[in-house]
Amino acid sequence: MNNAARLWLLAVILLALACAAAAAPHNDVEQAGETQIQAAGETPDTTAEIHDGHDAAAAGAHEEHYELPNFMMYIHAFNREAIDRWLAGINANLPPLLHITWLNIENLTYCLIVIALISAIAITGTRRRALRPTSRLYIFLENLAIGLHDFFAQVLGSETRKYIAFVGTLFVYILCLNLFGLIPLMKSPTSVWGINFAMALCVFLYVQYTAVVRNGFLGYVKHLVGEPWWLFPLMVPLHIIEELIKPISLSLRLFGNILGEDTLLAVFAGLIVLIPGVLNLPLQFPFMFLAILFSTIQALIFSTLAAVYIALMLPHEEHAT
Amino acid sequence: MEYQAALGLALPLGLGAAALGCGIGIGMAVNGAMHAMGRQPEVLGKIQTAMIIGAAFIEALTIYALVIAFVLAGKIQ
Repeated sequence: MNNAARLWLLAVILLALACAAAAAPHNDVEQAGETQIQAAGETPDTTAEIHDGHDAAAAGAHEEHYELPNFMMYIHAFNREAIDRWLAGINANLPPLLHITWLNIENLTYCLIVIALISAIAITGTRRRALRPTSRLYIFLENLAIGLHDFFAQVLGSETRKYIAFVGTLFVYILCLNLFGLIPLMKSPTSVWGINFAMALCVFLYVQYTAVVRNGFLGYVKHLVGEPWWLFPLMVPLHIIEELIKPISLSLRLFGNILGEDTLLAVFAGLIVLIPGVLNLPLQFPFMFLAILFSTIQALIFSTLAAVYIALMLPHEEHAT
Repeated sequence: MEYQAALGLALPLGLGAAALGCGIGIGMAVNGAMHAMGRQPEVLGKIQTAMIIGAAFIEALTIYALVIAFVLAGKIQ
């Protein structure tokens, strides 16, 4: 179990690279229209009215839905002209699909902060390994690794050791990303579809790779054809669509849950300001427990489903599909 | 009818309809799982995992409606 933390570290770095590669174009499709409008000379005052009275009003004027303020928003709000000029200078040399917006930088910053935190904890925790450990951090990490191993053993069975590095990393990483939104001035990067889709794409590619490696190419084709082979004109497109839908549903589930939860928190936090004097209570407080619960469950579901997809592709006796 | 008004009516109603169906579905799934857990507490962990995965699949349908609502809510303004 000692190697688990090292493997986590490696996989987290790989995931970060994948996020960096995939997050930029996806967010841009949504944001491109708005930035063009702003560039055309219309000031973003119309959207600012909606957020009036909200603490994030000045910072998040270009946002289209409620969101709790985060510190990257404030950086943008205080240096708006300089940052916009800088981004425009970068975007001038790029093709339209790869245009960078401040939102991309924001989300990737939080991803990198989370990755740095996890990496730092993993490195410092596992530096001094011993049979009878004295460091509490090491004991915690070892318990975490053993707990995850035991949990995923229910799905993966005897193959757990081979795939725990990937699915365990996914669990820890997504859990930290989800919970990051509960810290003041921070944000959950998983409330953006691009980040989730990058992770789901990793799962998809890894599952296909595992299937080809473990079954051989012929076994992979046999899996696509299905049981009665003469039904292949029907079954092959069906199976291909099934495989392609998996990453989309995986990422949309996480995205919708975290976005909904963050919006809920922001709306109830906004109510405090909207009704001044009467209710100076932290109205969003009860929903933070809900948010903790949802964050954990969604991280669990994402990684469990990744494990299930891997397990379905393995040459098992109890082959489900 | 303006399309903003149509969206404003349709989005909450559609989300509610999706949540209704998924609520019934999750209720039935959890009902079955609870019965199974009460009958065989020794395989509690396995049943729980399967129940959570099933509930995730059911819940995803509401999430699709929620995502559509979020996408289209930007057009009301």
